[in-house]
Amino acid sequence: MADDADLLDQRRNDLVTLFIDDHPMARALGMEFVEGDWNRVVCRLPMRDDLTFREGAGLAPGVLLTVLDGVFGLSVCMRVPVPQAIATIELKIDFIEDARTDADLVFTGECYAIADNVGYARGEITRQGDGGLVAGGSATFMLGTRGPTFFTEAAGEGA
Amino acid sequence: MTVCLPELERANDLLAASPFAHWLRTEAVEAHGRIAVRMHVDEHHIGNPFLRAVQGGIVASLMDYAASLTLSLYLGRAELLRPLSVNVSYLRSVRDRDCLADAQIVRLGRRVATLTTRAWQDDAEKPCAVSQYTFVLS
Repeated sequence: MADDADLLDQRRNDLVTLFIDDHPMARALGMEFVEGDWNRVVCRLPMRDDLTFREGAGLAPGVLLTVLDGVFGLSVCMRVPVPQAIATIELKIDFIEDARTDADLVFTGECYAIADNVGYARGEITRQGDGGLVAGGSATFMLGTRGPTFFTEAAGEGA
Repeated sequence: MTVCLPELERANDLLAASPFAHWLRTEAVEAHGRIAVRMHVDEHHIGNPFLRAVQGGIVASLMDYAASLTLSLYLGRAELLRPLSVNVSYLRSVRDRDCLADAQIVRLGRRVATLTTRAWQDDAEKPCAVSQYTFVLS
């Protein structure tokens, strides 16, 4: 049992590396992994002028969409850390307040269900500091889609 | 129906005022007789590096600009409008070549506007994603 638990921990660590630390898009956006467990992921995104909607405004809605989609996907993979590819089927976000220029953002995603090879995630975006709610959303992911998995490619076993 | 040159220039001015539109490598173009947004896919747009597939949120961002641009131009606004909510359905994977998106106004009320968008690569009739956007007008 201890070996199984160690393997799961290792796979979840590998997922964070693949989805955040070594991922070209996550790195280009400046995503930082904060914490995570078996079904929940928290990431931070520092405010950056080149990601704003317009000069003097906060981060663009598209930035929030992109990072939250990534956090949702990672939360689904953390819950089912077996070698498989996933793809977003649906993504919904409500923008509650404009992201401000004076605060970094915290993205929290939770995979709350897996059924019939579909992963369900929900979460929110808050301001670091005062915790103000910026956006809320949800997404569904198809599991086991075609193509090489992150694990096999990372291990050099890909096609 | 064609898009007149001043409208296309105005569309590109609105995109140029948005730093993230530049990060996305977008430009306003005419496609199928209306304004569309073209994204030149780059390495930092890729979500699955092994399949070379564009990340879902990046595709949503492209449709976001198509919706904001279409509504802002229609209303003659000096700045791009921010959406209130978005609901995206992904239909096909988006590969690492140019992707386009356009939008249509479904209803324009006094306070709320609803638009639908589509994103495609080879054939606009075979979209890779569709979405519905809601804007609150002030």
